[in-house]
Amino acid sequence: MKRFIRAAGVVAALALPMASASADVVKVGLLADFTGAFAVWGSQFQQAIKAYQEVHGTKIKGPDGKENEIQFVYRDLTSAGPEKAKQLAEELVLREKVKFLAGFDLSPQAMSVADIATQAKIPTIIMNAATASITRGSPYFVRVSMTIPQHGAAAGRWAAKNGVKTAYTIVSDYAPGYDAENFFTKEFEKGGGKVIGSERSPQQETNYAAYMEKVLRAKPDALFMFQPAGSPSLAFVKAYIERGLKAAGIKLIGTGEMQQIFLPQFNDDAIGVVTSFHYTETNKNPENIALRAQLKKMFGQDADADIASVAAWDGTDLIYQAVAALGPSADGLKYVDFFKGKKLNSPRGPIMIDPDERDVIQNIYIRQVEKRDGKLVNIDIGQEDMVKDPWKLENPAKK
Amino acid sequence: MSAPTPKPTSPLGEMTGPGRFSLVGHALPWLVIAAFYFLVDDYLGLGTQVMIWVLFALSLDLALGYAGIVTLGHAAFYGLGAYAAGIFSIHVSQDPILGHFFAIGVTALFGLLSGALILHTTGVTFLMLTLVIVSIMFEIGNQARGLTGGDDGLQGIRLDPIFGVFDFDLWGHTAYIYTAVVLFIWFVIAWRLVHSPFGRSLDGIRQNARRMRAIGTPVWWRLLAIYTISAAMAGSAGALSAHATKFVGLSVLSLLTSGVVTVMLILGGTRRLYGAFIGAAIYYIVQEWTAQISPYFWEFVVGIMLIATVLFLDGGLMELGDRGARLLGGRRRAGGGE
Repeated sequence: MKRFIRAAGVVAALALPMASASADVVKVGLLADFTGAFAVWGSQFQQAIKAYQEVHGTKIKGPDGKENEIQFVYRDLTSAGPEKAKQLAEELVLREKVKFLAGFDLSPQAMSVADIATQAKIPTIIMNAATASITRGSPYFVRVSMTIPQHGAAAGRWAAKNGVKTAYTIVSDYAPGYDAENFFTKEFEKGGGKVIGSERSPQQETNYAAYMEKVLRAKPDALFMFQPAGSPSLAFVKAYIERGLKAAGIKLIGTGEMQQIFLPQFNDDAIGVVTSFHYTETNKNPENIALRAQLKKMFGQDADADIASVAAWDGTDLIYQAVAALGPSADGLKYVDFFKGKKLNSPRGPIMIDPDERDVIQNIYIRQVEKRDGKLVNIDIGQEDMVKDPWKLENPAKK
Repeated sequence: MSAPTPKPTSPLGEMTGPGRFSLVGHALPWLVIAAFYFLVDDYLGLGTQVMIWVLFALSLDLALGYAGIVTLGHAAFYGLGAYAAGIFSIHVSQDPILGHFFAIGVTALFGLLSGALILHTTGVTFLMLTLVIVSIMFEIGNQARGLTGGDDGLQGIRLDPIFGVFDFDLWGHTAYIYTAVVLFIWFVIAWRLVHSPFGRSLDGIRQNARRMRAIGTPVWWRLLAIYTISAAMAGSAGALSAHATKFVGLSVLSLLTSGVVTVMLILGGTRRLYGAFIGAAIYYIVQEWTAQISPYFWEFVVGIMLIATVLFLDGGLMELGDRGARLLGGRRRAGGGE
């Protein structure tokens, strides 16, 4: 009997939050990987959202002066396929009646919910998935993260302008790698440089010796890389040093490999590596300082901001602003229209939502790894203002 | 030699089993599937996914459970079926039934060819070769970006209504019924197969291939036949997935997909067909619920469940049903196995 009562208590406790949900709750369905190979994305999203809600509260006044509670409903995509994303998105929309969808660390996950967003008219904030074409998938898609071509193109332009005459590219052998290679090459050659060789390495490659020998023989001024975080990029930089490319004066240029959260894994070999990226973790923006302090306060000294955190922070900011301006029950397209052309002071710097493409327009920072106070950090050495996604400029939307 | 010849048992004898109890048992999963449609309307997406995995696990049961073909390469067929159905709808015709048959044809052919190449091996060698095939398929899917979309996934699948009437709606009604019907058809085929003389010979091959060969069974041909059928079935599951999701991601061809379906089958119990139902449903639903309570927790729960099953329940979760039946009726059902 006792056990039965306890069980009944558990059931009641689970049912309670649903019962207390009333009309002024705005639910946001957050879909991301919380387990499996990509689990770090989910927890980074969640921490940043919790930090935002801690700073700004969970209640926001609508235009009618009534308070609305913003409630996030988290669902784990389990690092499984996009069919899981679609199924969970359906449930969030039909059952939880969410007003917004958000999250999506991998591109296929975002693409698989395009139909749902369109049919159910749910504004969907993409907080990572970086394949350029995604926002064309649904008129309800809004992206606050980045696109791969933004980084690759800016790296190419910077190299051409900064004394690099010839370059070699080695990219990971999958779609994002091809995009990075393509746009680096295009912009670099437009600026007068020449790519004298390019290789594609398997996604989980850890032995780059043979690739480095080839580069060494070709004697380029710079080597452009696009490698997944973790063991591939660690092994890449190691091989670059060991095979004497750094000693031979070949400059290493990358994109996301040298994010602050990865730098402790590298040793001093990484000093001097130049990367082109949209977020320098050590920047002095007040929003950035606030975000990082809040994360450390709530989740301990090991917690730190990365691109997932800033995108989740900005995405949450967009939703708060939209509810404040339009109330809790506006039409989906009204929210999207509100987002178009919206400017935000992001922790990464100023950003804007492209009024035509609903994609993020942002500064791209050129950073170099240096050692300060015994720690490796990225120092900005250049910047391109308000870069639009180059892929979209190249492939205009069909009217 | 004077022993009386045993009474021939009809395959239907197995099906109706020992009386009323097993008749209820046979009706149960289908009643659940029907009831789910009417009662839990908001979760049809979940139901559809579970049934797709059931079909996939069922296909593995034919190869792994009945014929003893130890494979980790079934994702190759599942993924190929998904891509075949998806690509067919983009480039050829948006008719879902036509696309489904196309996918089944392609995977059956691929099962036949790849089976012919590797089925002369057994054990670890065979296992390695199935891993090789699924890895190659994954890499082809990754490289053939023009056809498959590579790592970005296959976009732009559009489907006509089934028979020109039933449109694929957002609420997933059509997808659910479509999947249920396909699953039922395959289940009947599988049931007839494993209870036919052909199915019996597979049982024999699993237990002692050498002896079966000695009594004149064409072992290689039998294995090839069941491997091909199993491939077609897995391909059909993949096609359902492509149609229900209207998107195909490269993960359908990943080794993890093979692993998950194997875990489901072992959890439910091999060599009893319904094990696939129990295993896939429990795995998926436990994952779903624990992940809702805490997104970080579900792997732990599923892991414990699998360990407990393997340690204490020889025949998977289906064994629980047997034990329950024994307690209730005191009657021992002839289980699969020994």
